[in-house]
Amino acid sequence: MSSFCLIIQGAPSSSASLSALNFAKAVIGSGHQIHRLFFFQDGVLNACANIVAPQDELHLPKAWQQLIRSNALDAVVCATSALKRGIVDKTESDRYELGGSTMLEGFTLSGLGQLVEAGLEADRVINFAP
Amino acid sequence: MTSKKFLFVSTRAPWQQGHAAACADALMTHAVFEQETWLFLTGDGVLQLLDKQDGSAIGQKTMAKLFPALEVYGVREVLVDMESLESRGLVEADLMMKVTIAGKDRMKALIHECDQVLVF
Amino acid sequence: MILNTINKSDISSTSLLACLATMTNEDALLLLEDGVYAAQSASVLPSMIPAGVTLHVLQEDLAARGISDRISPDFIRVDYREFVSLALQCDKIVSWN
Repeated sequence: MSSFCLIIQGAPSSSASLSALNFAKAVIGSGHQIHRLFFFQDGVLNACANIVAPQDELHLPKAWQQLIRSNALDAVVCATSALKRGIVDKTESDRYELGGSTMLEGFTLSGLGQLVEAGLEADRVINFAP
Repeated sequence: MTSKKFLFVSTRAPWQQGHAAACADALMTHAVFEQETWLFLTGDGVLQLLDKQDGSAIGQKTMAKLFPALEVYGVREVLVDMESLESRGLVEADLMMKVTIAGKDRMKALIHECDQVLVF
Repeated sequence: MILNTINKSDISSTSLLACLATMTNEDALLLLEDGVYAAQSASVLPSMIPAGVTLHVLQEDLAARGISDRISPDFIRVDYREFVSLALQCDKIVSWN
């Protein structure tokens, strides 16, 4: 069994996010492990709780959340990228006196150090960028 | 902490959707965490090193000011693709700092030698 | 051995040219997303690639774009599971974008 770190840099509207989701499912389906999902740049929008998708379209943030929950994945959202794009958890919302968390449960805000760590620990790192 | 070799390849112009800045952030974080890092600028990426950039003209921070600090962060080497410079009519004197001007052969060697390669 | 991936259709793009210049004959190339358009029979891409490089194209992205029947025989069609195995057969993945 091998482990992967996936870097997701594309918004839910991008091919990059969709490809990454399909790749992640195939990793798990092939009996391998996901060491970490690292959402970076516009990729942090995949953790947005306020996205409404048309009923006949795939809701990527919810699809990611479901994958994360059902496989207990470590899903890190880059805090610098996230704050710039309005994605905050309860702690950050309180700190900046915003209107509450805008981040889906299952995702965790953290720093780029988590990407370095994943690069050292995972067997393969793969970057999905738009 | 264990150490690996990381190559960052930056291919975009300085103000394009924050790609260049994200690359620099990721690069510096890896260097701060005591990893061996290299930056290779190719294509429009070479424009990031142009001298006289002034972000204040468009109400932005001048990202290019970061470059001279990369050595302090422990980045091993900043390389610029020779062909990309030439095809944009640029010479070494147009750049803001001393860098290694290199051909694609050097990029090829680095890509094969490093443990991880991230293209931005 | 490196797995290079390309997700853009523009065969004159910086990334693709850099990718081509840095591959060795032991490497592999996988086209995905809009990169799959370059796998069509009329594409000049295969002629630009060093001999020995194995060429792969993601079949889901071909089907989505309606070009499954137009692919050069130089390419091996793979699904996501085969993409995962390919990533593991290689030492690292370089995603050009």
